Amino acid sequence: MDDLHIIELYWQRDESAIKESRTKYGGYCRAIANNILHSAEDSEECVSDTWFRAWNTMPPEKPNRLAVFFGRITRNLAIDRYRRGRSQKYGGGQAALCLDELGECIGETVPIEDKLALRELVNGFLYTLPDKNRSIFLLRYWYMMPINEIAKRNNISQGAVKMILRRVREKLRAYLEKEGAGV
Amino acid sequence: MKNKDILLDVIGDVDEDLVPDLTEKNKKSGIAKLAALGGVCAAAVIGCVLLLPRGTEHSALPPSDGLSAPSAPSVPSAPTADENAYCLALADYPEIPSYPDETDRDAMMKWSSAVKALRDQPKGYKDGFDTFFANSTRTFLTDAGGENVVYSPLSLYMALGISAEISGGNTRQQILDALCQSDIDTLRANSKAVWQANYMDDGMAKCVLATSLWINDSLDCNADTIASAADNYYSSVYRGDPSDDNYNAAMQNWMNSAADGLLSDYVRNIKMDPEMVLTLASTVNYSGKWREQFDKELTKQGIFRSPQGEIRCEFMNTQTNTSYFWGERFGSVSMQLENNGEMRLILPDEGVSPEELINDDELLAYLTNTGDYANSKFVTVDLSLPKFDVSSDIDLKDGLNRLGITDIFDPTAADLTPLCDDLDGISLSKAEQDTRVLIDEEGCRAASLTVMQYNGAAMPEDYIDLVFDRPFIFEIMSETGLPLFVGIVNSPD
Repeated sequence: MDDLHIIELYWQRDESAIKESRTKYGGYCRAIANNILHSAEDSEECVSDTWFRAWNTMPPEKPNRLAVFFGRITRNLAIDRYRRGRSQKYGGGQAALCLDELGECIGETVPIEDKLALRELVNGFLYTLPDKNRSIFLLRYWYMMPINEIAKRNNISQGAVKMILRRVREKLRAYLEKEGAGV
Repeated sequence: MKNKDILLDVIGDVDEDLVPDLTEKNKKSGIAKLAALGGVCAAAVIGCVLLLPRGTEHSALPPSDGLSAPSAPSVPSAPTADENAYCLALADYPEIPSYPDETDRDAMMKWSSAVKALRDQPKGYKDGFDTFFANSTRTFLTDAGGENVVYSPLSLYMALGISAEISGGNTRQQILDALCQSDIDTLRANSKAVWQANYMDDGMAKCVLATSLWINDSLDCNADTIASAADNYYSSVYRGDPSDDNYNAAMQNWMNSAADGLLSDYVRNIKMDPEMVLTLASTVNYSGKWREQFDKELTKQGIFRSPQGEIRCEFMNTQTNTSYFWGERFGSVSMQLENNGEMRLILPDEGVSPEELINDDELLAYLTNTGDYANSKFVTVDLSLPKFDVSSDIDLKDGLNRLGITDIFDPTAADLTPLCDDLDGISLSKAEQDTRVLIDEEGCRAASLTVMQYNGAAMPEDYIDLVFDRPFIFEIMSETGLPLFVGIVNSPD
């Protein structure tokens, strides 16, 4: 079923919207949750919660990209769950590694209070990146995909992925420092 | 919260245009980007029931002799004037608007509302179907013996439903038990709901369960029973002289039309017995377009290792990001069809035959699962699948006996008084199902004719090469999650 039709089902309050969402995007969302939690059971719960969160959001939302819309909900739910359980339970997932890596981009001396301003900065920064580097950065920190999977997806070595990620993180750190955020 | 946690959150909230699309094809070397258009998948079943008085020779429906080398699907033949001449009642199908231009919001809403009205059925209408599916699939697919075999549980369900309608006493109870239905009223309601929930004919996708009743005009059949069967199963009813060639031609026309000509080689051999009381034909006609079409330029010759030896055939190839499912002894992917369900392709592990696997509880649980099967992972799959055109004719009698349906075949035990209370010794003389399924780069077509004549288990890697170069199982599941067709491909051609 096409995305437009699935969105229409949500707007019509038709419960088959959830079945259609699960059929088309269940695997996709499960992959995102599993990247973060590395737990099939908890990932499945996140995916189930995704449809109900979407149900409560559409209407009024009318996503342009339904996959990203669902993926973002799943990501947020999985990160929330990760934070509640922390690394004791989810040590095998990518969340802890991603957090450590992102720690290189931003200092902890001055707490960030304006998340919206930071979002605008990060958005602006990502638009300046070459497509390939931006894609690899977001595969890692949006999807929290393992390095080896990013390498296979892009037909490059794991070492090349790590190098690109390190350079982008360094650029981001310099950019945020220049803008006075989180130094 | 630490700044790095905030940064992680902020990255998750960046413009959606920036986020890479995981559902897009990878631009892997040697893999061309696929066309965005969908393909076609089709299937059909025809089944017939012929009821004969005791002592009649059962020669009316000769066995199919043409399906071993089926021809290309022919253009559907329109119902003829002859067909209409015998018609007592014509099934009145619901209207679904043609699939609209997706940018036309009003037309989309109209189409969507029509489909929704059919899909909305009382809770529990599929109760019992899973058990019937599991029991009957085991029964009819286990004895493939290295040959292709295709079976449509939904077609048989409908044919048996009408058989229950025209029978009484223990004869009816045996059928109800096999269908896992508590009583005839429940069966009627569920059959009607199943019919409506699965009906689709919008020019883009097709799934039509059609049945027809062909009555001998020299016999007095109970009009109320016929009317009830017609109403609850969307049946058309015809009446004529079974020895009349035109009446037989009318029935063949109806079958060809109902199966879009996919089973014409079989249909041309069907002729009514002059002594028959009633013949029932039940069909499922299915076609749809792959959501992601195979690229014809990637189709290559390859070797398929059939039980009879190596066969050269054409393999379609694609790379797709999809859910991969697995069990202790099989792996599987599902190919979605535009607004018309999915085809599941199941590859038994090396050393495991499809006939052996079809009895596996884990596989049957997977085949009846509609979305929450535990062993699944979103991966990139390099899929290599032979084009296939498989057909089979199943004599249902032994299998139905094993499912506990025995009385209806026995002239001394069959209770068919609801149909005809002044004629003794009527029994079901023959029950047969002929099915054909074919797929290509564009999709799949399938047809099945049920003729009943009353006479591996580890978590997979992120990338998987799935090569269907040895016997495998497929299942076509409807949009509402009912198994329409299930089959074993031992030889793709």
